[in-house]
Parts: sequence; C-alpha cells; structure tokens
Amino acid sequence: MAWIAEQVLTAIRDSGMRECITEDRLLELTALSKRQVQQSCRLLRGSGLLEKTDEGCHTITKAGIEALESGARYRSGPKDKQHNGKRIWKNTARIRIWRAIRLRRKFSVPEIIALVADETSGDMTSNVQKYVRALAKAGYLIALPKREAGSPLTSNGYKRWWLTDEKDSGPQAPVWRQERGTVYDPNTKTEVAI
Amino acid sequence: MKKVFVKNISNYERFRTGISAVETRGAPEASLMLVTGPAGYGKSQTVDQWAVGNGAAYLRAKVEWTPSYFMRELAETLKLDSRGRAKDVFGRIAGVLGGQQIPLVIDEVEHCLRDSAQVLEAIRDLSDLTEVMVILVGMDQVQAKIARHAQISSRIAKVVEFLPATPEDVTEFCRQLAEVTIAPDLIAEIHKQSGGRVREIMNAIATVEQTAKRNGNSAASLQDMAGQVLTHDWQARRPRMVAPVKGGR
Repeated sequence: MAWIAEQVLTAIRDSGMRECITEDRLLELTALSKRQVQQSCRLLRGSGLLEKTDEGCHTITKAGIEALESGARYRSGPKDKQHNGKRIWKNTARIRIWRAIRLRRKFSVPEIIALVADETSGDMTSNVQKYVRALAKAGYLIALPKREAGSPLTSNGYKRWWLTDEKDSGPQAPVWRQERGTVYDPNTKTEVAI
Repeated sequence: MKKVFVKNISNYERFRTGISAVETRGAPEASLMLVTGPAGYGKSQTVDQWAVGNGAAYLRAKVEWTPSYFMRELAETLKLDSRGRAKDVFGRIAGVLGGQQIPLVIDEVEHCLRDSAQVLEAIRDLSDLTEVMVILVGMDQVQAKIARHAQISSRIAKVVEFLPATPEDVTEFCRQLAEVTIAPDLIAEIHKQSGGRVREIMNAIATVEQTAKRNGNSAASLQDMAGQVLTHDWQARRPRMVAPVKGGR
C-alpha cells in the first residue's frame, strides 16, 4: 500500500493536476481523514512538491510535476544523501570550519571566519574559537609562536595555528563531544580525551 | 573590522553565474571553469570560500608539479593511498571524485602549463572521466596560454574574469566590514586610491576604523582622514595620503 503522502500526490495526478486543488477535494478523491490530508499536504509542502496558494488551496510545483512524471515515490525518513543508513554529507558550520582549516593549514581564527561566515550567518567567532581550542587540545593543531597583528587599537593580535600534514586525518570533520570531554575523529574512528 | 565574506559584489555575482553555467552545461565533458584576473581582486578568497562551502578538493599548483606529483598530492588531500603505479592512483582518485561528485579547485594554474601542459592534460583526463566540476584559478594571461591547447580549452565551459571593484562594491565592503559608518566621499577616495583591489580596500577600511575609534567617532568622512595614510602605493614605494578637503575644518 502506498504511503499516505504518496496517495495524496497520486490523487493530484489523477485529478488532472489542475491549477489549485483544495483539501476538501482531496478528501473526496482519497479515503483519508482530514487530518491525514492536512498532514500530507504539510509534508509535501516541506519537500517543495506542493505550495499553498490560498486558504486550504494547494498548487503542485514544478518539482512536484517532475517527481510525478519520473515516477518518484514519496517516503518518510531522512532526506539527506545516505550511505548504509548514515548521512554522508552535511554542510554544518563545524564541517565548513574543518574544511577551511584544511585549506589554509596555517591560520588565525579571523581568517577562518572570513571563509565560513557571511552576512546571514551571524557572529561565528565563539563557535570557531571553541572548535579550534578543542582541536588544539586534542593535538590536531600546533600554536605558532608569532601572533597576527589585529586591527583594533588595543588588540593583542590573533594566535596563529598550524594543522600539520600528519595531523590532517581526512575530509570528515572531527567531532568535539563536549559532554564526554573528547574529540571523535570519523576519519580514523578514534576518540581522543581532551 | 568584521570578518565576513562579502557576497553582494559584482565579481562574486559573475562567479556565481559562471558556476550556474557550468552546472547546467550541455556537454558533460566540458566541466572546466577558468577564473582569471590580476592579483588582489579577490579571486582566491572567492574560490576558497566556494570550496569550503561545497566540500571541494583544493590544491595550490606548485612549480615542480608533474602529472604523478599532482596525482599523489590529490590522493593525499583526499586521504587515499598515494602509493603504487600512476594508473592505480588515478583509478582510486577517479573513484572517489566521481562517486561522491567532489568538485576540484586548482589555484595558481600557471604552474600546470609547463612541459606542454601535461598536468592540465591529467586534470582534463580526470574531469572527462568523472564529469566533476573543475575550477582553474590563474592570472589574467593564463587564458591565452591555455587557448594554445585545443583539447583543454574546448573543455572550458565558462571563463570568469575578476575585474576591479566598482564604487558600489566598495560601498558594500564598507557597509558590511566596517564597524564605523564611512561617508560616501571617503568611500569614493578609498575606491580611487585602491584601484579596486580588494586587499587595499580592506587595509583602507581597517585604517579608517582605527582613526575613527582613536578619536572616539562612530563615523568617518574624507575630512576626518585628511593628512592620513589610507593605502600604500607599492609601485612608487610611498604611502598615499588623503589630501585636505578645501573649505574643511
């Protein structure tokens, strides 16, 4: 039996994909309850297959039409790319920070912020500083003796760090497990106490 | 000075358009994009930011690169076994790049052009096989040099040229990076003195901010910076001073 949201998508397809389809009409077309139709529409909207154009009125999106034409099936569960049941790619701030560290090798915290932050991401200073400190404690980073000059008048400058080739364990970002006081490295599958 | 990557500028827009053009290309094998422009216009910072955001494999080309040295270095970046025959290393790299569709960024691509561009040919082989996007970054003369190699230049889907920052770009830099308000007349002076070079714009903003804060001001105009050094003329090896404003205080 098809999943509930899939039944709703199929009903829209069978109804001839008119400009706008109401939830009441979907109730007539499917044997589902009002709550099930409402929830399915919400899920389909979240996936970008449907959009709400008016009160109780839905229009199928271009992505929805393509999904129907290609015979794509709607299933619950994580939407990210999967590999053996695990997510293989995420673009979190920590992952971007690790990538920036690997790219720069020798860096100061402001240099990394300039690569990972934009106008919309808010102040990432604290996040980057905490992660860099955790990596340094776990032995990934070496503090360089010379500091980078800071632009504010009374600045003591910025500490510079170095990720050596031996400590660059791979493309996956080490995870700082704060509550356990460890750093877990998914590349080597090892956990280091800090 | 705030540390953020400024996106609302013309060079970044051109870069984004270029990326879209390559992503929606007709021929799958034409997956190369060339980014050119003189030093200091923000090429590397833009490409680095893109590489970080998209999980690209990033390499800075070296003068001594040979095809096997390049392959070994790429394998090490991807944390693959770089030992064994060149053919085996190539196979391992292609498997990971193609399988996970990891884009490739090569900065300072000028160094890939010696010995009949053998390294670029290796990059082309890799992109032909995996169909991943490859971004080549180089100085403005590099386009003409690559054009001599028809096999490679035919794979370039888009060339993005980095140009000097416009007055609007400088306004955007000042708005997003400065912690003080910079007046339009001073923005125009920064644009004039910097020649649209991003590095010099950044240095000028830092100088303006320091001066304003030293004087306890939350805003700075051209008059406030009169007689101060805003940027450095590296060709004439002398600092550029801000001329006093006529009729000023």
